[in-house]
Amino acid sequence: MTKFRRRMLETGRELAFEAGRMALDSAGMEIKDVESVVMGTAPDAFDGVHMKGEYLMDGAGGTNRPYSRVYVGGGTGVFVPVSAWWHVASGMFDTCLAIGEEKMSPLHPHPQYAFWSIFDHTLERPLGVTLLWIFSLEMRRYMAVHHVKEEDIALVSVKNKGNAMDHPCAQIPQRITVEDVMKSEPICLPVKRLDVSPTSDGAAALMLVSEDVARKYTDDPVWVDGVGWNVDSQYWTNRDLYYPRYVEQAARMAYKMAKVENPRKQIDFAEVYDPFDYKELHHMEGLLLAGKGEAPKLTREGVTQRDGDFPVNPSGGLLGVGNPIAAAGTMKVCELFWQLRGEAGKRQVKKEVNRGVAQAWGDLLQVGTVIVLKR
Amino acid sequence: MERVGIVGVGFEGFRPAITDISTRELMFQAASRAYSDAGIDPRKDVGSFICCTEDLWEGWSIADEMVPDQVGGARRPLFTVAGDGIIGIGHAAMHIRSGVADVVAVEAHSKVADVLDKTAVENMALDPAYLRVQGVNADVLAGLEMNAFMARTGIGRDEISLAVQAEKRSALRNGRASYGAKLSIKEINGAEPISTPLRRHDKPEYVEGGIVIVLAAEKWIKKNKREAVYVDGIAWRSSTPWFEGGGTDVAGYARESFSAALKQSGKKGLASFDVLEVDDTYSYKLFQHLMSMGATKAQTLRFVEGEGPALNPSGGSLGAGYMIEAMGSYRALECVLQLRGTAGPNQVKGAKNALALSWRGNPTGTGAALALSAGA
Repeated sequence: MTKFRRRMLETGRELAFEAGRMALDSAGMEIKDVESVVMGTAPDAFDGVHMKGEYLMDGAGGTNRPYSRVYVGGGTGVFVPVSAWWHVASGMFDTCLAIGEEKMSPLHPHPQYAFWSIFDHTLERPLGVTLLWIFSLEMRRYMAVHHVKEEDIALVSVKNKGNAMDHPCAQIPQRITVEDVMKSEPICLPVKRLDVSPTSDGAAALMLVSEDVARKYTDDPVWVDGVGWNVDSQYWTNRDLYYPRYVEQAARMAYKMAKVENPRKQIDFAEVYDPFDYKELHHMEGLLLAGKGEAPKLTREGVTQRDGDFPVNPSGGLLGVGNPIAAAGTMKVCELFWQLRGEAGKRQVKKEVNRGVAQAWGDLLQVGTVIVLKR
Repeated sequence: MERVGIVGVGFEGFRPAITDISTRELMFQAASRAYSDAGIDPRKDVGSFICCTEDLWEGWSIADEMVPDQVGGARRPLFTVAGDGIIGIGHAAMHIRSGVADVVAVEAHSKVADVLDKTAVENMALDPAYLRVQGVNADVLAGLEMNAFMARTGIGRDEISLAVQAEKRSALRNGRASYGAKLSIKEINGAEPISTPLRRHDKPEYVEGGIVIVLAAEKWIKKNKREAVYVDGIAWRSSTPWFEGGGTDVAGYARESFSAALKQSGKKGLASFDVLEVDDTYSYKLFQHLMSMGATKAQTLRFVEGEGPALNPSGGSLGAGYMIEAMGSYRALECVLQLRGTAGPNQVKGAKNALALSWRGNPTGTGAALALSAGA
């Protein structure tokens, strides 16, 4: 993966190339070994380029190959390796390069402007609503239903930004306190500046291959154990926001494939989508890694720390490493790979890990994408 | 590999502007008909849903978010391919073969009359550093390529106009086509220039429509006793995205995707098919695509004159209209109807094998090929 930064000088094509090149180097493979390419990148509005997948194609290694761009909004990053999996699992290809890329910085004055056009043109856009508004509604609902204090949620930001201190690509690694989060600039209460991940540029990539090919290149492959995705109704106003049922549906799809019946016991660690600190808690519950309303307690007790009983976001997550939308989820799947291979360096979790889950979320509070990897 | 078949198709529209229903309603109509045609309940039977679209055509960032409700895909596995409908069918085949789903629905639509400035959207696809600043647009690129293509192949204006004439005439007999016309070669040759040698009738007009195609695994088809049109080969390829670097006499994406689909199907060449629905986003592209798929110049001219496989009996996009990312689905739909024997007045007698070839338009070098056969 490339560094995640607020403004990268590299173009989107160059970011995709850098990440793809690193994935091939990691696998000991060359571009000639790539039979197919799948690209993940979120709104075209960030770059101001129509058919953005076509624009990024040569940087991603898609020239003269079967190449396609798939997306499910913010869930795209985890979805790209999921899509690469079905390229290979279908038997139609032996290898597939999966790249998640996002370059948010070209949009001025701020990338958030791209999100104005994700709302329904008749019912929502006239209200001048922003993503931060609806996330604050969701955060407030989660807090109200489970009687969660803002301080408990702030612990997630403290943990993840701290974990990111050990990530060489991280954009905003920080040692902060709960008090720092509580005193940070209000954005749309209860959401405050340090509750939110930054806007970022970056790319990440993985090389997925069939079992036969994998055995030729390594004695230590990491296997895709389960995949799942689910998209709820666009009408987010019509459901109770306290619980992400679409994440649960996606997780159940992946767990069924991975034959995981008790995720808390059969999975060793997780990379959970955390564009906001409350989302880590929300998603842990949707992934059935904690009971409803239980995630704040696990966080408070240190269970989710890197040296805890069930590490969550040892990478530093989006809050610490950064949030180039589609690349952020792919970064999480890369972290599963590094942790399972014992190659995470200072970020390596203390306990022995054999199975991990990564998840991303997107659209209008409606997408869950999940992948389970196993050593 | 699991054999995959098409068990249902549904469509709505195919008119220059659909003013009485919204994009969502258009999708709903097409989906309802496809599910009825397949005899399925989408809430129970469809394992995954795929939509083929691009944000800027929709006027909607992350357009996948507005798809689930009207296709029956809410709280189900659903995603968007930013690509042509045949590429969506390719992903559906992979879902079935990887065991993700036994039944997959692929949706594609054009609601392009809602776009006030279509050229502005198309221009946003041009490389911002090298092409956009030159003030060119997709038609200028096509004019340049057409000029080079004609010079290199020796194919003349009258020959290209003959293809335009034939497609417009076929469209007159196709109830799903909006731009049928009886034109003389003189009228086509003398039409308003767009980007010389490209003229008015060399480029299709936009049209709106929605198409849903339901695919299923052969074991599901047999178990549930459904009729199917089978996918014998499917492939998609991207050649260079740099307009300046692409070929003019050969379209690499057409050659490679056709070659791969042909290999999968076990067929020998274009002559193995009874029906060809080949991309004609610009008139000369029909010739370029046929020649890229192995036809000689002489064979290409014979196909255009009506010998050999039936070439674009639907009227192609020159006759039916241009449906952006739904165009590949439209060509696939016409092939399915031909193989079912339900194509209407343009039905090709005894059609057993059909080929659809799509291209995503300028400035892309991306296309897809789909080889189909009547169920057995």
